[in-house]
Amino acid sequence: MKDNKILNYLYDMYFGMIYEMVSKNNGNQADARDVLQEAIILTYKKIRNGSFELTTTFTSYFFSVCWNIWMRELRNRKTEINNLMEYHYLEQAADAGIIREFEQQQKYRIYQDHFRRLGRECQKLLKLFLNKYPLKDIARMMGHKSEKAAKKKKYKCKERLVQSIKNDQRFEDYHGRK
Amino acid sequence: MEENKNERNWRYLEDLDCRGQLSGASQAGDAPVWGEGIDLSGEMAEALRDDDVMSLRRQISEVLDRRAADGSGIWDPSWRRVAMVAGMAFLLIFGTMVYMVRPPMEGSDLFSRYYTSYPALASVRSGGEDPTPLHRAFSYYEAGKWDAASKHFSLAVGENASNQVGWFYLGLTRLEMDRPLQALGCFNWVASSNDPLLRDQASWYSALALIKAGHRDRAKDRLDWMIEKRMWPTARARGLIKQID
Repeated sequence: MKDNKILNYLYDMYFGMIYEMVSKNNGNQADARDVLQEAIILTYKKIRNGSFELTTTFTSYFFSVCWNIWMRELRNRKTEINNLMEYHYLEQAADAGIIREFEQQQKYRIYQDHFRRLGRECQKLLKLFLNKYPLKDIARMMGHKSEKAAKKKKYKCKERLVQSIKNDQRFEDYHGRK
Repeated sequence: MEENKNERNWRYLEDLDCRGQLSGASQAGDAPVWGEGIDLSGEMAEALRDDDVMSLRRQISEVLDRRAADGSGIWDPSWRRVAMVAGMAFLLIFGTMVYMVRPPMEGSDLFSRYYTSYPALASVRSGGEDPTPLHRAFSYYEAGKWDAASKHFSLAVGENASNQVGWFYLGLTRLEMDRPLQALGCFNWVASSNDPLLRDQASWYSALALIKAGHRDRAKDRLDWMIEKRMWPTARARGLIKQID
């Protein structure tokens, strides 16, 4: 999705509705923004893996995805819900699996957020490792003296990432629940 | 009541949860505890390899930041409410200020605004060596001695009841003396006569007398009638009607 036109279009079309729905249920603008972002990513992933199937209008589908995401978030926060019934009709509009996908996406998001906070060198090193490059090649590409040095560096980067993830409140929220 | 509503909402969420719609994995008892043995494999590896989603997330963030920064974002509903209240308050204050600066005109104000003294008739200003009551009345009228003028105009119309000039000026002196109903009788007499000399003027001043006496509706009827009959001060009559409305 190289073009911002689609994102701008989605923003113009749906952000107002999402914000209205979220703000009526103890949310704010930042929450609405989060919901929109996650809904776009969920939809994109479904299209990408070929499981996107539209049985209603896209608006109904997309809005119900947003609604389900926000319901999930409210459940996490254990906040009071005032206008839930108003959006009851949206319950079935999105497919039931969307929440499971959303939850997985949230986990992925935590990994990705913390990965992005690592230094460029660590990111590059871990990427190479994840892409199963041999340590010998990694050491050469990263300018390390030896495979051992590369392995040591990789270990440090990984530990930094894991520690950072474990310190995340969201990680605490998910940890042990499922 | 609110508590019940909230309880109901929670029951609804619990129900969704039971059906696995809110937390699909919660029913899978054998699902691994997430976070245990966190390592560069499995989910984490999959997540970090997904460059598409990572760049998409960054792209969305940029778009949302830009939209929020250039003010093209949605208006915060709470601000919408504040703006509505502020707007209503502004209208209320503005209305009050307008009312204070330009309140609906009282009858006496309207009268003052539209009333102008009518000049004495040149033909009867001077009575020579043996002035009649009318001549004397005009002398007093020009001098602004309303009591004396009124007395002599009364004498003049007493001598000749069809003296339209006498009746008209008697009405004017009585208006000056703040006796609008007495003035009205005089003007009505002139306005209903067949003499066209002062009929239009008498009609106009009768409307002013009605306003001064507090009979705005009757004054308006009179002015409407004047406009319909295309009498002399039509433009002023229209202006006065607007003020009355």
